[in-house]
Amino acid sequence: MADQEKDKQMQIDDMLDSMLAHYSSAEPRSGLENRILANLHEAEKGPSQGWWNFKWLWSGTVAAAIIVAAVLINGRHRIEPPTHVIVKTNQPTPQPGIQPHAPIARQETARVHRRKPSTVPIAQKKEALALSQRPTNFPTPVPLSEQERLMFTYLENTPREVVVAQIPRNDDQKEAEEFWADREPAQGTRRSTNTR
Amino acid sequence: MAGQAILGDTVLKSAIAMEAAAPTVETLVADHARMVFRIAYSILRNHHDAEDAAQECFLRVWKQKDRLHEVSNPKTWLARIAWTTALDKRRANPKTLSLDEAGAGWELMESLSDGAPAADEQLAERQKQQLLQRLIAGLPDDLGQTLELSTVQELNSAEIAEVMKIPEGSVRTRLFRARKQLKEKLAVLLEGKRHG
Repeated sequence: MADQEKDKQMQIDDMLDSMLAHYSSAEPRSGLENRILANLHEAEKGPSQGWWNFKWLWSGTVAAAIIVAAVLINGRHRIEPPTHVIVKTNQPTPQPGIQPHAPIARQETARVHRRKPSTVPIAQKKEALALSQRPTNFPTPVPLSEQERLMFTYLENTPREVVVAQIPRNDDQKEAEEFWADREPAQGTRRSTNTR
Repeated sequence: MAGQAILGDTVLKSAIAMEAAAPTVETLVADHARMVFRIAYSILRNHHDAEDAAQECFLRVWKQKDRLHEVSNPKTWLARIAWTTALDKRRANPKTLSLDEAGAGWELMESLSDGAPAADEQLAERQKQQLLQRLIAGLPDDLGQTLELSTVQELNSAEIAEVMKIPEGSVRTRLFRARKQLKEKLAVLLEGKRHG
């Protein structure tokens, strides 16, 4: 009985040893080493290429972001001016010697256009200041030129008849005057004499 | 001057020696690819999966190629990487192989012919391996994993201990306990075959 049990145990031991001996005796397909090395070489190339592509992707994204930001900033500056259109109507100060359309005034308005919305209080102050300095009559009186002054002096010192006589007349006007001189001698005496 | 030359020679020689001692990934592949495959096969029980695991193992090694000179025992270091890689793979794709669930142990035992002709030997061997696989799957993890590593021809108990990071005595104890449990299960199966 004990021998039987011992035999049985020995049989099981042998069976287990035999099974375990072949458990991991599998052989890989031929060329395993080459396949592994090829895979490693591929992996060696892969990451650098991937990084290169990734780098290009990043630089492209950054460039696009910069362009978008620039467009947005530029666009904002262009949209702003309508809020300050009132400022644009500023009249030049009635200082003698400064012409109403002097470049300085234009620069002033242009500068106001470029201002950011954060400077609204300053713009309002300027607007108030401009309103207080606005002249009472429009357009602003301008000093006479040399020719105008000479003409004015001449007209003051010359009798009206002389001045009128110097005005050139065409044939129709002359006929009309003669007609009226004949019909209204009392009124037209002076005129006819003057015209003659 | 002569002292400096001697010192330079020594440094150069030691550098050359270190260079010669430090393994490269290529030499590791050439020397241990088969062992790595077998370790993976002992756990995954599939040629295709075992080769995948071997590839992945050497990929992990390749990622640490700059630290290869720090490795004192490349064989066990590589064996540990192969073992952990295969275990990770098995965890990622678990195949429950227990006798209780499959109920195939009896069938397998029944199909094992006592005096099989040579043509059927291969089939019988495959069936035995399937039976053993199911029996090992039914063992506790620590025992099963130790037994699986012990089936790899290239590893002795000291190396298994180094791979598993446990004392060599623990490896022996685990193997003894694992064999004992397997024998008990086999005895039950054989008994059932005799009576069935």
